[in-house]
This record gives sequence, C-alpha cells and structure tokens, in this order.
Amino acid sequence: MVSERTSVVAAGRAAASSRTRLWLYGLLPLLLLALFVVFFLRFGPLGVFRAAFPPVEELTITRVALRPGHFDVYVTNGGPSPVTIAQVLVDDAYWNFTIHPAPTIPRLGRATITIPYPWVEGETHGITLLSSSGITFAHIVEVAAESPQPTAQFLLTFTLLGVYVGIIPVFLGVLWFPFLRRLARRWVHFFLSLTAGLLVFLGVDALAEALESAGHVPAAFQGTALVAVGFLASSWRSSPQEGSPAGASVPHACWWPI
Amino acid sequence: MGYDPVAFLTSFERGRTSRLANGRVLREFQVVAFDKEIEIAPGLFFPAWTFNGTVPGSTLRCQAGERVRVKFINAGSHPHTMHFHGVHPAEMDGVPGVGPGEILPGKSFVYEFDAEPFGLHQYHCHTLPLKRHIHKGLYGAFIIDPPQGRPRARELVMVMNAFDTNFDGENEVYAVNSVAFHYMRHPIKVRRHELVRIYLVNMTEFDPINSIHIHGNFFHVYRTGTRLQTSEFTDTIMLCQAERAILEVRFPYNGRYMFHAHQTEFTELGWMGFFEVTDDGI
Repeated sequence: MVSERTSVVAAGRAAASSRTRLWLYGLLPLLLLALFVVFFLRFGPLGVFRAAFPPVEELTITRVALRPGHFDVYVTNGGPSPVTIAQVLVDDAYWNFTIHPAPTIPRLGRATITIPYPWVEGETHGITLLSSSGITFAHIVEVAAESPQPTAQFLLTFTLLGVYVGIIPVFLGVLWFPFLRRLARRWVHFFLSLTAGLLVFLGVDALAEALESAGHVPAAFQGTALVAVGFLASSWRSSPQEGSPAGASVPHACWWPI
Repeated sequence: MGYDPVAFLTSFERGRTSRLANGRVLREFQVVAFDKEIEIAPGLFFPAWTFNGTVPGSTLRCQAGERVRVKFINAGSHPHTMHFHGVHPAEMDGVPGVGPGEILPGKSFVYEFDAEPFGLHQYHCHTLPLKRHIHKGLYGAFIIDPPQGRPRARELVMVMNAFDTNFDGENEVYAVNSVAFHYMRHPIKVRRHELVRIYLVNMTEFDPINSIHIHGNFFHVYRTGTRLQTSEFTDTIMLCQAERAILEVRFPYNGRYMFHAHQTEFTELGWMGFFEVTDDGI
C-alpha cells in the first residue's frame, strides 16, 4: 500500500516535472525571440534604414468612376508611409479637385478624389495624381463611358444574365440525359472528356484572371497570396464532398477565389 | 522669408561696387549654392539645388565695361560651378577640367571677368551630369546694361523653367520663375501706357524649346539684348534652352491680359499668368 502510494506520488511528480519541462521547452524560444526582437529594435540596424532612406510612397488607384461632368477616383495607400495628394492632372493639365476625407492618406487608408472634368464619351483620358514630393500615380481611362449605378434595373439585368448563363444551360443539358444514356460507351466517354476539358479550361482561365486582378491590389494586401489561399481553401472544401460528380468540384474550386 | 515669385520679378542683385586703381568700377557679388526644398505648386515640393536659396537664382546685374568679381561658395551636397554666358577667359568659364573646374562641396572660388557684351545673359552650373544640375535649379539671369543705359521702364525678370518631379526625364510642372500658375493667382500689376520691359530667359530642361505669347498686345523683341534696335514686332516668340530676349511692351487698355507659353501642353502644366493693367498700376 505504502510503496504503491509512493510510486503514485513519484509518478505524479515525474509527470509534473515533465510537464514543467514541456512548458519550459515551449516558452524558452518564445522568450528568447522576444528578447531578440527588443534588442534588435533597440540596438539593431533598423535606425539606419529609417534615417537613410526617403519615405516610400505607394498609392493604388483602385477605381475610377465616370459621372456626368466629373470623375470619382478611389485610392488606397498600400505603402508604409502616409501620402499627401498635392495636385491632380487630367490629360496632362492641372485641374481642380476635392479630396475626401483628407489630402493626407495614412497607411492602409483610403480616399476619394472628385475631379470636375468635361470628359468625352468614347475617348481616352489619363489621370495623374501628384504627391507632395512630386511622385506620380497614373491611371488611364481607356474608353470613357458613364459608370453604371447600382439601380433596381441594373440588378434585374444582371439577375437575368445569371439565369441565362447559369441556369438555363444546365436544364438544357439535363434534358439531354435520355439521349446520352442510349449512346455507346465510347461516345459517353467522349462527351465526359469534352466537359471535363471545358471545365478545366474555365478553371485555369478564372485563375489567370484572378492572378491578374491580384496585380492591381495594393501590395500590402498580398493579392497573389490571397488568390492562392482562396484557391487551396476552396479545393480542400470541395474535395471531401463524396458522391458529387468528380467534374463538378473542378469549376467550384476554380471559381471560388473570384 | 520664403520665395515670392512676385517680388522676384523686380529683384535685381547689384552687388557691391568700388573703384579700381585705374578708375574702373569693380562690382562684387557673392553666390552660395545650397540644397533646398522649394514649393513649385501649392502643396507640391521639389528637392532643389539653388544659387542663393531660390530657383531661379538671384538676377545679377551690372553695367558693360565693369570688372565683375563673383565669389562662389559651394555649400551644397554635390560639386558645382558657375558658368556665365558672356565673353571671358577660358579659366573663368566654369566648366569641369578647365581652370578651377568643379568646385567641391565646402570649397569656393572667385570668378572674375569684364562685363561684356551688354545684353541679357544667364549663368548656370556646368557640372556633369548637366541635365540634372540644370533641372535641379542651378541657373539665373545675368543682365549687363549698356553703358548709356536703357529708357526708363517697369522691368520684370521672367525665367521660363520646368521641373521633373518624378525624375522620369519629363517635366510635371512648367512656369516662369518656378511656381505653376502663380501669376494667375497673383496677376502682375502694370500701369497703362507705361513701358514694360521683360527680361525673358529660357532655362527649360528636357524640352527643346519654350515660348511666350502675350494676349491683346504686341511687343518689340531685342534678341539677347545685344542691340538697341528692335528686330521684331510680334505677340509670340520662341526660344531654345539658354536663348533669351528682352521684350518691350506698352499696354494701351486696362484689364487682365493673359500671357503663357504657346505650347498649350506647357500652358496647362503651369506656364500661364495674367498682367493686370490699371491707370495707377497698383
């Protein structure tokens, strides 16, 4: 009894000490890392970088909306330092503008610049923003046309478009099923390969477009990584769905990141 | 304190005069080159290299036949020179490799020569790379008055210049005397019928030519100012880089008259202003 109890206590003690050791092993590197970071920030070469380089200005023109008689330019500051918009050029001419909420856009901040301008339907216009240090950020409006506003009419049009493109063809395809069932096996294989190929093509095309769009995203948001994560996450999500036809998960996985 | 383009129009640096043993006038100037951030449009700043803290640098003015001594001090971050347009010995030409060559930061040199010929000239830094040293702002007007002087007039200095703010070899801002549209916001006041003399110098970098057009009026042109007879009566003239001309005009009517480069691209990028003609010129 006594020896039994002792061994239990010993075992308990041993377990406790191994748990302590586990915590120690877990926390020691973190503690050292924290110390290292503090040391680096305090005495490291970071100050040198701060002192020697002029501020890096990065501004992304995320969207230009054309309204009757003016442009609305939406910008995001994806750089490490604030950017102040000093002047605006339209078609290589200085132009009046207003900026909301303020001319100085903080890191990861956004602003809208309104430029009254008699833009010409169907023609090309160039917009250039000048920061207080003279850095330029340019955007080309390839073909000027009034930007659509989200009205009920607009929503209805797009809903109908979705019905035409996404629903009606599927029903038509299902109607084809009795015909396909009567075909020889090699013909069924042919149509399945055709479908799979088409879906793979759509998937690759969608991914390419997603990566292209990622290029327009402010650098701080890591557009490419975002697409990759979205792609992988959606592939992982759709693959365990058993019973669903193999082909269906391909477009699902590819459309997901868009 | 800061640079005022309106005050610059009529600011002439005449230096300090004394008599030499032979009775000639000795005129002494001091020019200091240093780096300075300047505002070239509201809210838009340019890291300039300056002569005497402004772009253009001080307008140096003397009379033909005088002995000119310019003490140049380089307090900037790069080697610079002062290269005068005019007649002078080679070692006073302010170019690399001749005479004193480049004046290093912290060093100084005295350029000395006879003021000739009379006319409107300019000075600029001639250190390589030349394009950069000029477009960064190292230039100014240099006036040598004829011995008998010129008729009394309201005199204005206009240096046509431009700035490449993002260093891509093209200018974002054009102006006279550096600040885009400044004389639109602050029209130049002149009196009706009075003789207005414009000392016009083109120091625009990157573009081969620049020009001026004055609305509603015609002016007499004295190219380089080296002849006292006018060569042309017009409302528009074109100058290549470093070319200059003296323009004389009398405004017969009151009102606001625009003046600008007649390259509309330059006009809309800042090179545009107004004369405001009134009975009293105030």
